[in-house]
Amino acid sequence: MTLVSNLQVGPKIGNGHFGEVHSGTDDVHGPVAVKIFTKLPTETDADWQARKQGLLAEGKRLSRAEHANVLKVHALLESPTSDAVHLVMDYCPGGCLQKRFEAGPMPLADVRKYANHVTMGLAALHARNMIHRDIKPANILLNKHGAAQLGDFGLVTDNIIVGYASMQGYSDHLAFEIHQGSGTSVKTDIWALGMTIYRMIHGAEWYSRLPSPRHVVGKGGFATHLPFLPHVPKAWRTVLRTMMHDDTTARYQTANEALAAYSKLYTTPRWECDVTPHDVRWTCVHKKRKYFVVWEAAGSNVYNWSAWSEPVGKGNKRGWGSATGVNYDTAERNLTQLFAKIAS
Amino acid sequence: MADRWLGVVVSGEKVTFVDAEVDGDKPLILQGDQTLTLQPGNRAEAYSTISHQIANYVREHSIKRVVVKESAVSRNAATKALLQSAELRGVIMGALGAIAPTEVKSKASISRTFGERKVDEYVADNEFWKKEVKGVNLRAGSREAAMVLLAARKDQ
Repeated sequence: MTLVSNLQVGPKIGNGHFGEVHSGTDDVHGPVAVKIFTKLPTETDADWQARKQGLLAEGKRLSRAEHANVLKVHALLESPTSDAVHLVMDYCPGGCLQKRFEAGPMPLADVRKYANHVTMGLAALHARNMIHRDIKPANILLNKHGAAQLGDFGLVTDNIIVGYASMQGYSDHLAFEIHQGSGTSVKTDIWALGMTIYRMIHGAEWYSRLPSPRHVVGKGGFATHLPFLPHVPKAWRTVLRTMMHDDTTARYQTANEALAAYSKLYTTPRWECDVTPHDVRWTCVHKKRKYFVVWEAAGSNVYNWSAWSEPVGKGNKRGWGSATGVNYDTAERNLTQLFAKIAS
Repeated sequence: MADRWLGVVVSGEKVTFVDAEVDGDKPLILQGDQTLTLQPGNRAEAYSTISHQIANYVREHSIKRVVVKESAVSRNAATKALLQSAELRGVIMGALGAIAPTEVKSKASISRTFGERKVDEYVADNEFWKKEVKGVNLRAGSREAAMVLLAARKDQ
């Protein structure tokens, strides 16, 4: 196999553990992303040859895994000098969901939309007997139509565009049974997808307050004790806890089964949520009123919260509830009940 | 040679489909029996999702023919729920018509042409289903979806 001459490799747009990601163009596909795998300094020639053959074989499979929610692989090319392999893929101008995760909690309607896309892409991979093994926000890319696509599916363990250290994300997305010594499977992909959805709902600041999943998932009961932002409805919690259940038989058995469960997930009212180290703030517009909720830390396990609404047009501000000097559990319980009052 | 066919019934916000191997007059060999439910919220997005769900199923399972139970005229006023159900039926037909030969069968036409009894009588007859369908378990609520397959098979 030789490098196709019309592929123009452009500037670097990201780093990976095994190589770099560059923008590029080719005459047929226009803008593309090109991931370049090179021989590692510590790798023997024999190891590199073996890895290269593996990459080429897997590339052939990936190019057949065509689905609207799976990043399209156009070609896997070996350089003329055989010291690099170029993976040529669709370029996704929307970047990856890691950026959205870092920006904070995502509205539930957006999360469900992307979860739908990713779950359908995952079901397509599973139908082709492929396991993704590395589902996380950084491996979900937004194409030019705003649709989410799964990228980096099982080929390598680093990410395509932003170059975050993959091992951290990967370790935090390992299902209970992997910590017990089992291998990856359709059900470990479903666990990782549940974790990804949880992260999108809560954002990086909230997630950073959790004990690192890689250190606690193996102890068991992780999903049972997972803290949710109070505006997340019960059905969402049930679905995510099912996806991340320790017992693989209690988990959704297929991606399509998880997708079917999303039909229980209400997405209105559309709460916009902002989590900072000191407080959590929500706003939403519901029935011609704008609602505000603020939950503040006032000390060690001491919290205040207040809620009110204002008319979108003319009218009066109305109190919707408040408490001061309550502990975390009380505040969380009060707020969960409060949000449920105007849930769909 | 047996082909995979899909029988589809849309009712309210649910899409029930039965996937079966059809081989001449032999009993249907059921491969799948599922119900999809429309997601709450934005209806356009929900239609898009459910149409992709069922279209993916048809692609992944190499379904060769789709038969959808047709909308029926209501004796009562057309409620919004009824219109929305018909809307969903159209969405499903459009999604599947793009990837596999898709036809509609009305309950009335099946009653006229399938046999001596009306469709509802066949649907309620447990012995009939034991004889006509093998393979994975057919839920009682999915019998109408299997019935449209039997009717389409008879028309061959």
